[in-house]
Amino acid sequence: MASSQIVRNRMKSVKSIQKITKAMKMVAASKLRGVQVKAENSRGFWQPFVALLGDHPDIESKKNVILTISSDRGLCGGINSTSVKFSKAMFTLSASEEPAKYVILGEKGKVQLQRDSKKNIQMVVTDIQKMPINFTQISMIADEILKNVEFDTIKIIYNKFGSVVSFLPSVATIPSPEVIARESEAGGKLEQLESYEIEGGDSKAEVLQNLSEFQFAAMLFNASLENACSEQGARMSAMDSSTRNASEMLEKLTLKYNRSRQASITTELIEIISGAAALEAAS
Amino acid sequence: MSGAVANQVSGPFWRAAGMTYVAYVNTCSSLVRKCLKEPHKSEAATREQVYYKIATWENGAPAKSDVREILTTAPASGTPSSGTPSK
Repeated sequence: MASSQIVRNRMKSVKSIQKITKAMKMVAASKLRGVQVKAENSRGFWQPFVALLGDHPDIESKKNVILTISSDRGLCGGINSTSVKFSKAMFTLSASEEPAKYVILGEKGKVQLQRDSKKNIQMVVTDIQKMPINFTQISMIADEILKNVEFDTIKIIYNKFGSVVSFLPSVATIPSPEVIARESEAGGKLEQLESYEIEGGDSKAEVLQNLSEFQFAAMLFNASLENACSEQGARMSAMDSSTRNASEMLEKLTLKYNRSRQASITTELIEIISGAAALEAAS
Repeated sequence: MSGAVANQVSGPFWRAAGMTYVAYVNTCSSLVRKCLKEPHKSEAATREQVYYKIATWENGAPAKSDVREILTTAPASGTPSSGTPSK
């Protein structure tokens, strides 16, 4: 009798967990729809940059900054752990005279990275998704980083949104204007820049600086949107599997409860019948 | 960042004043948004809303932390205002 009470309590709590995770899945699905449109539109931001400057993750640089984009909230599957794992790998890969520095966007990344890389964290930005992500916000963050962090290259680590079930950890490399200038000379990786003519009154150094800063803001914008999409998608599938597990659990618990209920009824009947039989035998 | 320092003397006025290109572009965009008429103006104002918390770390511990916020009615300048956001 006592165990059936316990089982009944467990069933109640599992049922409420099932309802909550189902609701979270719906919320994540609706948020995903909104962010996905923005993310897909923002892809047009970085495509011209890659067309102009190419993508050179192996560019030589001494001062490396690793920008990890993570989420603020949990329950979103493995995307934050993947980002952190890649950031640490990038950290060891980019070891030069100076160790690389971390700039972290998002609470979850900070929590994971501060466990063993505390000394290398330079800046942490959180609460980004309190208002919907827009370019103004991202460019202000980019501005802060440009002003306070010295870098030769910034490597942005984020999860690119493939579909609701596929997220690709990606790295976007942003060289500083000095590095671009260095590589655009003969023999460097960006040699083809020399063949472009510069219109207007700006000198080449100025144009490169403006380009580099804008490239950073544009890439960061796309990267944070893609990561937000991946976060919602991962949360959807995590909550979906959680709901399924909860309903499986509920089935097993119901069987267990019914069995224990029937067993107790049977025991009672046996007691009554044996009591009655004993009385008959006595009389 | 050192490039920004080097170019401060030469170059356009905003570079000399210490703004990055990104900050310049955003100031211009907010000016353009202010020139719009309703209802586009309030639509565009939603694209100017900013809120984030930033903390600079030194030697493994957060040294300084700030809240940056811009709400619909405020001008788009990155003035740090710490404390609770007012709506």
